[in-house]
Amino acid sequence: MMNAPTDLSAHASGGVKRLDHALTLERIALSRGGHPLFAGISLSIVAGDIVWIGGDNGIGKSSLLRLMTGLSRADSGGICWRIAGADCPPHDLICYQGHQDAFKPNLTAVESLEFWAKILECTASIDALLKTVGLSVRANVPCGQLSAGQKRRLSLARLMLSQKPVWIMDEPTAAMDSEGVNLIHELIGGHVSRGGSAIIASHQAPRMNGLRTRQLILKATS
Amino acid sequence: MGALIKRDILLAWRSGGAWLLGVIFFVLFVTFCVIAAGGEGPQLEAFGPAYIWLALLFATLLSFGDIFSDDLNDGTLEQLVLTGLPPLAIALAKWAGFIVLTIGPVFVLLPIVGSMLGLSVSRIAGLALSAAFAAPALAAYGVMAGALMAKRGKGGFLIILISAPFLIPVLIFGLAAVDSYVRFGILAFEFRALAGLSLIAMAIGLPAAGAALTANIE
Repeated sequence: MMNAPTDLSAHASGGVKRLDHALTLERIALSRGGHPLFAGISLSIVAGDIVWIGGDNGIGKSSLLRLMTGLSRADSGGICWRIAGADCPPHDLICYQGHQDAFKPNLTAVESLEFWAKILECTASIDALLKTVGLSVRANVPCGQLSAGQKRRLSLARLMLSQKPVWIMDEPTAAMDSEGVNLIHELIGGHVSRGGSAIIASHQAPRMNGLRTRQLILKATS
Repeated sequence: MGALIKRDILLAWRSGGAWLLGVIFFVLFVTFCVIAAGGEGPQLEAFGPAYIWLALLFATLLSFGDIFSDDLNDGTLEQLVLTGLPPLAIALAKWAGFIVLTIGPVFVLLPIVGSMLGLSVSRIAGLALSAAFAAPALAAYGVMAGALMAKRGKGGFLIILISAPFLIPVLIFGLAAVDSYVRFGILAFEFRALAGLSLIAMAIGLPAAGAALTANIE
């Protein structure tokens, strides 16, 4: 099932804060258990940017994303989150789709999104979001009975619900069928074209038709 | 915060009765104590409040490990923090949820179990009031221990070791309050002590839980 691109863009970015925003990393270094993961990473992400982070397994892609979310701290270097020229806390700027879906097996898809809508103080139409991610027919199915790909779609709906300008996505296409992969790319495209930005960590570069994608390939430190 | 409490209640309702584990333990513990004490007589009436208080304590201890472990393991906690919800608010919501879901059902059973043990109405009232005054402390220390041990799954033995020293003063004053209520009513010193312990527990336990959650997510 595929939704019209107009629907996608409307739901993907309709509520995004259109203020200028920037996420800046300066000479970031991180180690795990005494082993350096990466060092000297500097990066600036502004409205309209798509950044793809690639690299081998265990190279630190997910760790770098978590630094960008503010969930963890770097060993050295600085990260700055800014909206409209002023520093802001990370949660004002970013929304994160991690490896874990954060959905409860005993709550249905619609109940899960309703919960997150209340937490995010968002009044977006849950039905429309579920339709956008192709889960209308599974709306009242407990999350425990959804497939991995369907849970991924549901977390995509939460991403849209958040209405934050920067989407940080860790392996967004994992467990997704080809239709789901296209859906993700269309949603990211819609989000970015309306003033948002996206940072995507995956093994394969996203196919963003007509949108410039910057690449950051992590390599093992010697 | 209200959404989190409401969600926890809904999840407990759909958990297939897992939330009743504490209540079942409470009833079984008191029953076994009654059997061990010989079934009836003045001894049972004398030690009844102690059996009930110990059962209440163990029933709550049993649930400490469940407070945060699922939310941490499935990524809910990090998503909550990323919405801008302060960890202290998450701890507060879990504290309220623990009182409603774990202590609440036991509290409802207190008068029934108390009358089964042959306790007088005034002692049952003292028991219920002492439990009510102590509930915020029990929940606050539970939330603190649960947050500290969230990464270790259900926590196991360590969670008991962490929380037991904090719970002993609550037990001492809780038990003393039962008999003091018969003589002095609710103005007895022990109730003020329990209220003070609860305030201290909230002042220490909830911020500590918030800090532990932040550390666990990182």
